[in-house]
Amino acid sequence: MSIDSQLDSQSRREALERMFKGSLAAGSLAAGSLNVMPSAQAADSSFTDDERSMLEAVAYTLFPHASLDKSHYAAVVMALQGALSADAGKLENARETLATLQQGGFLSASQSEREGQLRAVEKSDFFSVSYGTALNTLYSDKAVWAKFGYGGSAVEHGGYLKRGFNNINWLPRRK
Amino acid sequence: MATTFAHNDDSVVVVIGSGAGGGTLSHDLTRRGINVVCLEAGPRLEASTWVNDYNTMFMRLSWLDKRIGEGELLAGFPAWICKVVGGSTVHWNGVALRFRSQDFRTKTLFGAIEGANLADWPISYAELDPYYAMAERRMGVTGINGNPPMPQNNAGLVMEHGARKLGFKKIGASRMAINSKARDGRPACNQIGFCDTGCVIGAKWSTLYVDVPKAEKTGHFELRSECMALKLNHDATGRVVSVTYVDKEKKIHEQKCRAVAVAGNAIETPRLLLNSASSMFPNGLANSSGQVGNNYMTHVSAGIYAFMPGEVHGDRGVQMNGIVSDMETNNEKRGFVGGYHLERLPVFGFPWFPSFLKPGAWGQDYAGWVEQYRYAVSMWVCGEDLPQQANCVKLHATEKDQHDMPVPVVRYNSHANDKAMQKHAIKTGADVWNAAGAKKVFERGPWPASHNMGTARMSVKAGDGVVNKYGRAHDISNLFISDGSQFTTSSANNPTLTIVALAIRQAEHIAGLMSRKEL
Repeated sequence: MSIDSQLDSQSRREALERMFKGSLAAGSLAAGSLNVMPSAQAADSSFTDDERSMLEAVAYTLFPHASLDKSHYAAVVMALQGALSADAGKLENARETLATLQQGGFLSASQSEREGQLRAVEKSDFFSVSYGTALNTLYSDKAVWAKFGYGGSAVEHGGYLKRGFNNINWLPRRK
Repeated sequence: MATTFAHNDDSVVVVIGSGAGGGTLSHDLTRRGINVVCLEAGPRLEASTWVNDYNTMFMRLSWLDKRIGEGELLAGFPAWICKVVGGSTVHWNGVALRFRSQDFRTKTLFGAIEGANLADWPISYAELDPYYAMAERRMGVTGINGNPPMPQNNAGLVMEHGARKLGFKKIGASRMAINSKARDGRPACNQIGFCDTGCVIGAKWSTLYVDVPKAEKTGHFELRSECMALKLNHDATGRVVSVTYVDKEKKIHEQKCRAVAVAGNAIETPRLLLNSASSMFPNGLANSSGQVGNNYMTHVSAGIYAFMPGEVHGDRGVQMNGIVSDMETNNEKRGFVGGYHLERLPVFGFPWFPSFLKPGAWGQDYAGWVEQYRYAVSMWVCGEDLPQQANCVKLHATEKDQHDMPVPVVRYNSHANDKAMQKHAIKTGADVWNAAGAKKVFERGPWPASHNMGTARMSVKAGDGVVNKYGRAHDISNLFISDGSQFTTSSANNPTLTIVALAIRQAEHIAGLMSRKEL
């Protein structure tokens, strides 16, 4: 039996949070920012269409990539609904924060105006869950890896020995 | 059939830990015909079952039992080391550097420094030199002994280019304990990347698939994996007579022994000594000096990312090949003592890259840089860390782990010298990337590696440290320390090669003591 199957998803998440916040990220990540195994829960019907639109806008504002299909952000919204529904306190905070943002005209605002509005709620539980979920859902997606040029697992392809580990072509040639 | 030893067999040497120190020592004792029982807290994994995925392998390899960090360390995860057979040699990047002769006498060289607890090593470079040579041959270190240099990859070539433009001279491929040609029954490196998630093909040296199987072939070795040592027990004369440990079924056992060598990494090693306190040794074993757990060192560190004008694909190939060493030499005009290396670091890949580049960052500008992944490069600073009394590993007064053993508390704060060095190193690193044409530099620090040292250090005098020049406890004649805990000072060099060289030398010493009936 592999070790990771012995660890429940909570300890897995906590361990990764510890690492990202600690030895490597030097404590500067927001708490709860890691949700490496996004919940596969179905969309919670208690979220309204308006709220889902808002969640998608928040996800896009955090990590806007014009080159990515809308479906990638829809996946973040799915994961976010699961993460928020799992905790009554976070759900309440999410509802309040979303209402505040909506009243501030978030949906019709420009990216830079949206960023300003999100910065104002950066200390909220809602922000922290949204940040972590967006980061990990979006960037754990292999289609996104391919788009941005990350090759993922390489051992089955014989590594990069014959696939360009030293194929750089723009450095000046050494005399 | 695998060799086994009885729990009441008091002729065996018990080695605790199977990493660079414990794995090497086990191999070198057993090949001399000395019987060894090795207790390893982690499970034995097969390299062929590993995957090229950062999150998955982090969870499979890491030491995740509860630890508490204080000072600059993260409260819940003070250090990243491994809990598997092979220890952190599964995770290490293969950078195999020797210390230099001056690294063994920093107190003489630097003089007294306020707040630092400097000492000279009781061993000289000349004494260790032949053991370094043995370690390098055994590990297949590149660039010597007929092993070709590790070919440089894209990101390493960018780093070399920048460093050359700045006029640096000590530039190039690093000495790597990764096969640059097939040897010792293991293949040559395929430039896969993912060195630190475990080398799936076994091209990188690790005790897991090099020293442990060789020890087993001697017929003098029993590895007990998923067995966590809890306490060393002694008799009325103060000699260690047995080790209490817990197996994976949570059963407690006591293994009798002739001698014990502790190699649990610089957090677990002092933890075990402190947890073995008795009425005779109320402050823990081998601790008459009060130095057990003190002088915890990690290396001065930082990470410096940059984006280049052309594509680099910084995830391709050996992760930490590439080094600039011009700044290693002490030059007090810089405002600090000691020196540092710039070592290339992998950019890692997704999902870690957006988390590490600038932790907590988001928004249009940041997402734009994340998209430029193909252009990204990264380097790491490895600098000499000064020993300080207050940087230490202690037992928590009340909190216990799953085995009812007190949780270790690890405290670390940078010395002013460390901070000055880090600032200097970050600037130099950024200068290298800028000289290579960087469009943008992200400065990240500190970034501790799995380098933990100094918590049971060697000393000339018994009052200044825990062990002598052979890693033998000053207080207890049949107790040895065999990992980086022995280090009197850190140097600017990655610790593994020195741990291996010391373990080879220690095995020779222990065998000599035994043959002369002195142990």
